[in-house]
Amino acid sequence: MPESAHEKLYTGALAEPPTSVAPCEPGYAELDVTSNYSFLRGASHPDELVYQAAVLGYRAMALTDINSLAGVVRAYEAARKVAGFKLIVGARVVFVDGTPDLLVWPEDREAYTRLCRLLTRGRRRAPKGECQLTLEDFLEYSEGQWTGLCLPADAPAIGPLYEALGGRLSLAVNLSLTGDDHDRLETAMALSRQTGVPLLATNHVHYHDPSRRTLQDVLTCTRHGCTIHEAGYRLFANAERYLKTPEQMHRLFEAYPKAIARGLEVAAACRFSLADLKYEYPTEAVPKGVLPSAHLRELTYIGARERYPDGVSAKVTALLEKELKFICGSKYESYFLTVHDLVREARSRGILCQGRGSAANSAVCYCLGVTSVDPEKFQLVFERFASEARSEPPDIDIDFEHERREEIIQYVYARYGRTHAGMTASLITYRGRSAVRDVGKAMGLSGDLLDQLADKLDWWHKGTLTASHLAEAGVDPADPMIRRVLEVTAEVLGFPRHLSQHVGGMVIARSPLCDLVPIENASMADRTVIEWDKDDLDVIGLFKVDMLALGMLTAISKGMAYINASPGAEGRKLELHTIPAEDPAVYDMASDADTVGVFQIESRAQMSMLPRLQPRRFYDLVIEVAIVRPGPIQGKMVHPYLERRQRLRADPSYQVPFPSDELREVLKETLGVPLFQEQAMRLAIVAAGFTPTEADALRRAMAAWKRHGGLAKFHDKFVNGMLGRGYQPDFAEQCFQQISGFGEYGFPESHAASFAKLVYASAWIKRHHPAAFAACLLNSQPMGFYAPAQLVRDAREHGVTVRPVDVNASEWDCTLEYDTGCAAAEGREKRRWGVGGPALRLGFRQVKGMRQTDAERIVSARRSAGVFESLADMQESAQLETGTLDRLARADAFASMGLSRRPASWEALALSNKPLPLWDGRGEPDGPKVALPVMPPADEVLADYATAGLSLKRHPVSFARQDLGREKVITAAALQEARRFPHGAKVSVAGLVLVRQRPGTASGVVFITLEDETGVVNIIAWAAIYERYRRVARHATLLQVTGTVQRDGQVIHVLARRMFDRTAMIPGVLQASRDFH
Amino acid sequence: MRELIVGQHIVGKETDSKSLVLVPTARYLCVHLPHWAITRRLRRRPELLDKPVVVVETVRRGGGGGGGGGGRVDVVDGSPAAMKAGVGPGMSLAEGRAICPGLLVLERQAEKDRLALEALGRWMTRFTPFVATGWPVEKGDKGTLHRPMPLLLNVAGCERFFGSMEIIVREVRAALKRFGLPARVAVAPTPGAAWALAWSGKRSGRIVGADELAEAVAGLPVEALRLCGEIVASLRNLGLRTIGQVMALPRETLPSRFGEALLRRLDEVLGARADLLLPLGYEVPVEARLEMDGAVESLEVLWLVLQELVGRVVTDLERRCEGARRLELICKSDPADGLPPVVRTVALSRPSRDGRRLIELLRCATEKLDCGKGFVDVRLKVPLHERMTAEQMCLLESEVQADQNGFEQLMDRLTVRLGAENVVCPVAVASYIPERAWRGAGFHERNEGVGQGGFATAIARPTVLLKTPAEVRVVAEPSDDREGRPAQMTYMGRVHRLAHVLGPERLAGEWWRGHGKVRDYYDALDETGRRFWLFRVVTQQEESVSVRWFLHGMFL
Repeated sequence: MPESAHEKLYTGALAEPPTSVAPCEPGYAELDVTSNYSFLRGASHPDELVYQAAVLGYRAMALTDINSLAGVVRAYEAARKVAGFKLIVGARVVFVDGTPDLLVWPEDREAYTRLCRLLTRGRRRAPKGECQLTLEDFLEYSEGQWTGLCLPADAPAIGPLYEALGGRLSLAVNLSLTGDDHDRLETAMALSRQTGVPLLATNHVHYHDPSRRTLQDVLTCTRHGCTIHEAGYRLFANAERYLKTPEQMHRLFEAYPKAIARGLEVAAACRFSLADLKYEYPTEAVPKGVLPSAHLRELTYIGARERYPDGVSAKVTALLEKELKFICGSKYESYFLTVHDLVREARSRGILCQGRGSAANSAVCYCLGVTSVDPEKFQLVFERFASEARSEPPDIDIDFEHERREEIIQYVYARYGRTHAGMTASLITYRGRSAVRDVGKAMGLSGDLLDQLADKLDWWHKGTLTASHLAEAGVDPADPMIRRVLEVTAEVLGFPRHLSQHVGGMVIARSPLCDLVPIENASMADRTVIEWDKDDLDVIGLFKVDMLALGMLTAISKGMAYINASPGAEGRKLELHTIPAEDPAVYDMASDADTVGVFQIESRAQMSMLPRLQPRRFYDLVIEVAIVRPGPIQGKMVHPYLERRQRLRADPSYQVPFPSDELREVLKETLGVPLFQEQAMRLAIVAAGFTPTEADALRRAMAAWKRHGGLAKFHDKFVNGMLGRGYQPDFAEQCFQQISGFGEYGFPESHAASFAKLVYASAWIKRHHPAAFAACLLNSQPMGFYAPAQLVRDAREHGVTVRPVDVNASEWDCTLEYDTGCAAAEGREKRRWGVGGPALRLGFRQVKGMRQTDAERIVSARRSAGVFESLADMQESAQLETGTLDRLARADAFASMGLSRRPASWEALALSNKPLPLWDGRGEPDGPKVALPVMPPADEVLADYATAGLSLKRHPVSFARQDLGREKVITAAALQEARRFPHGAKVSVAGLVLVRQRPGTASGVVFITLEDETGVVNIIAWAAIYERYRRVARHATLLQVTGTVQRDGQVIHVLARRMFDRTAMIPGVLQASRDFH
Repeated sequence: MRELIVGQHIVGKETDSKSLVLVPTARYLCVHLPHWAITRRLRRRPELLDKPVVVVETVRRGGGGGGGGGGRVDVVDGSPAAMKAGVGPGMSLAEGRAICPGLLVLERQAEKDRLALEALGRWMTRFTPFVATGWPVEKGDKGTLHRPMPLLLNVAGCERFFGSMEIIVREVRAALKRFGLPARVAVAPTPGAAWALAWSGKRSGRIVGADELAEAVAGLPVEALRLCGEIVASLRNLGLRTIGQVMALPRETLPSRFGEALLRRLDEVLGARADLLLPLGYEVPVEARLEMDGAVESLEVLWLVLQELVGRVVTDLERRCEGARRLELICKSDPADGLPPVVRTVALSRPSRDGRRLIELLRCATEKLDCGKGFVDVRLKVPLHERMTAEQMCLLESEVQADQNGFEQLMDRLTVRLGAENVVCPVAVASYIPERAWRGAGFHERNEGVGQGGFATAIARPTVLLKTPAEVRVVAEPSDDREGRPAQMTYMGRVHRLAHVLGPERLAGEWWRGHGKVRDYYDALDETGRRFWLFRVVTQQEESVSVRWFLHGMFL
């Protein structure tokens, strides 16, 4: 990847990085450089150091971060751009046994391997982020290491090192004008004479330019957790640890020029460069004695025969051949085979998974079972992968069920070994808030002031942090301390702070991975992480596969399991690709926006689009997924598409206008509007005359222009290209605008198709097995857009009988009960698909604070001892704590014993697990009968909400309906009546606040979803209104909104004008104890 | 009918039916100060009165101090403006900020709150000698955080001095109003009931007698029993909202369900069990005073007076097993003369009640005193006195110890004579800048700062540091970058040829104080063997570069 993240943040003193280096005379090589990858120590980026060294005419520079090689790729990348510059990869090894620090510069590839192994050993034995090494460890890996022993040290310490290293050992001495330089040099020279080990001059560099001293001091304070005023001698006395000119260095070492010559000698001897690293794909997936290409071909065709039982078409065969040729030509067979291996393993364990990404965009992947997108039906743009593959390794993301992904990750560790596989690191850098916090803290600002400053950072990022903003935050903009804090903060932005692990990136190699890069422990148990992040991997060309977790896959997998286990399903086994395709009932449901819980199309924006889009076939779902995205919305592609679609629906003979025939080919599926990234690229190739490689460059620019522009140079080429081919200037401009709109958000078609597959699968389950659908979503929480209350409500509206949690019926998960089925049900008539199907029994997982182990104990006790008859009986057989019993009592789970909440609670409390000697409350049945106050119905409902997040009894708002009616507040159902409440009518609605969101794309608008006993109402509040009613909007349980109705087809919003807190209308709510003070 | 003394203030009456009825005869007045934490703070910062201000407390998470940092910041109390905006106790600070963006935040000062409450309590002793500040905070109960401590006055029998209980209540309320303290007041036969009424009562100033106690308490919410949050939640969950509802339950069912605390509290509130309160103690100050008919007009007589006063103070200290750390002498003239009193303070290195020594120090302090028109009122206070630990004398160390004592006595005397600001000890400060690397600490605070910083480097520092560096003329060795060593220095008209020079030691300025200049220090020996410490500063202003040299110290 030519442009990686850190470069965009490059803020160094050099505006233009040098392109070549002219080593000056006298020469100098700096071999002791600490970059900011020695977290909170170095104060310059590796590239700043490299560029500065090049400008100064250094012969070479070594990067020696503390026990780490995390920054070497960044340095290498920079050094690669400077012709004639020599970067030496190394590390400063710091020991825990009192051995002085060693600067280690590996001579060749083998020595580098040993250094990686050494660091891996130290890090694997220590907790995350630390390293524990002893001299013995080093001696074991010392072969081929040019080594600098950092002074002060004494002769006995040198002995064993000299024995092991011989002529490769030096004594590294630096003169930092600390006053005793003369003495130190004399001592070092004496030691050198005594031991015969030559002196080597360094400057112990911490930053490329002395101006970074301020920042280095602040980082030092952060490291020590002190303020700058307390730091004292923990800081450096001066700013001498920068990259000095060779002349300066020679002057410093005037008394002993041999020390400088030694540095040049060592630099010349270190031949290793990261370019020597050869990465090889793992071979585990290939059987012995078989060529990988032959194996891939075999597997592909076996898969193809399974996919196409009626014979593989000529089109597909041609595709497969073309792809296989390319893959084998680029030596990527093993990559595909490894991905196939993971997918196969997941399948065999019954874990649902699906691939995405440019390389997944192929017929081969379809046949290997990595994706479910049929190349027969889709136009796959293999070019994108092919063009990408020239510069970077292939990229496939695989989504797994979120609850079972760890199994596959552990499988990878087990199959390839901890030494061959590791998670990718993710570099956490200083961002606005974290930066100002750390800097401000080090400068001694109060926590309060920091909060205020951090709050104002939004403006800062927009580049307009003005004095008035500061004054508003209660900060004096003229205060020199504040100014300094802001200056340093600006400098520290983008600095690495620590390494974390990537969400799912796994690196697998044929040779041990720890030969390439040090591996360390993650904070998570059983995970190991390499030191490089994904940008680094791209530079080195390492194979990475992203193993991501997707909640919906878990849900679909569970849903299919319920369906397969239902009484009527013997023998038939439902799988992702055997779900009946193109079922009109599913599309009817989707067109009605009846999609609560369905993957992707359940969000509010999607739901408002569905009735307009009226999906009728699978491809419509692909478009639906891709179109409601920031890219197309900002590119203004949504309206033209919808308009053409509506026209086409009204008049099937309507001819979609295409500017040319060649574009018809590209855009015919999307009615002339480019919706996918692939289309943008093809458009550029077909209509603007780009070569595929140029088109790929355009794609990269599209992905990155938000951050640093770069689209402009494509603009002219694109527009001129189109004009040259006879397109109208307006149209050319429009196309380009649309392409820029993609930004990072554009969806590739294959990606959308993979997602659409899951959309269809989940919609199908919802339509035909609503009870199973509700159960699988509830049992996969937390995930998706809706809380359990909405999912349960939706199930009931579709005719599913939902039964409450009960100690004598529930399990941990929600279950389906087939005994009676759903006979009577509430809800809208036409959608009662659940009637006659199984009933849904809520599981203990709905009870807040309930532990799974307790639930399992209850279930197994029930299995062996039969139905519980009393709490005492249950406690005895299930061995539960009183707290658990009370929790269940409060959740009203004892109805089958004839106990409502309060009596159950009363009994649960008596079964104290620590009976007091004199007050043994056991065997209470004989105790006095106590009449507890009866719980009013509204309290029951509220208690349901408090303990389970939902109620099956009544909706809380229904208790306030009478009062609300008096205030002329209408229900959600009434709002549907277009005649009574037309567009622009003034209405008041009220309900529980379900969701409050402020999407990044909608500037300053807050979306609120209210729920009452009849349905949900969507509210839009402008920022000004929201701010005015902020307190009410945030804290009211029952919120009333007064505003105007906005109608667009079936989509209804209320534009808020005023908001009121109506919580007091629900009896019982206000009697909480908070009012007494 | 027979009366029995049953508890602290409880009388049992044996009625005709031979059953024992407990009738509390005590009267407790409870002053509940709902916003003590914020009121106390706002009294000192009247400019914040109408602003939304909250007092917060950081609740450490997990306890045990593990993991460091982290924790929830809870709002303990809010100013009227904050409460009006909807920010109040029991909220997290983050929540409060979300509601009221301009919120000002003060950290809770629990100890100061307590001390101020005690001071208010002492003031209240004009109503009754028995004033207590609530109950001790219970560990682990989050509820107590938001339950401010009350003042409890045992006013039984005091109505005789004031006329009636109503008058006492009226006067207490009037006083609180005068002080500007929002408060609610109630009187009941038990402390628990008085607090419950004051805390939850809508009406302030209610007086409840023994016969109406049960009835009055029954209507109060269960929170008024001062139970921990869990029990309250448990009771409320069962629908038991008032104390009356709990009282109606069979007693034997309660302990197994709610622990013994509930019954205990119930009994305490109703007077069936004594409640333990610790009244505020009154510490008698150590002081002595002599008022004279005729004015003391000479030092000699004054010293005789002092002798007498010291004698009395020492006797007092002996009884307490304590020694004086600070003495305060206040001499007043005849009020008719209108002269301000003369005040002298004497500090001691260690506690002492050695009369001779104290007199000696006082004499030193008054040596130059102008008796003016003479004093009629001489008072000696000991505001700071400490326990004297018995010191074990070792045979061989006694001389060392005597020396040490002698030295300290000398220092005490010098401090008295010369003034505390003139007797200082140097204490190391961690700073590279030589003039900042030490500070003069008063003799009595010297122990606190020593050893914190130590010295930066192994490099020698001069024995004499000039107060301000003196600019000197220096001839330096020629060099491209103006980094040449000094070769010759002219100081006070004398030319020193520098034969031997060590350095440079480069010290960069403390940028966070706005000092950016860099100094290069040299340790230089001249031909006669005198050793100097001098530095060079290079200043660059646009094109012109100026090099200046300063002498900063000498090695003697």
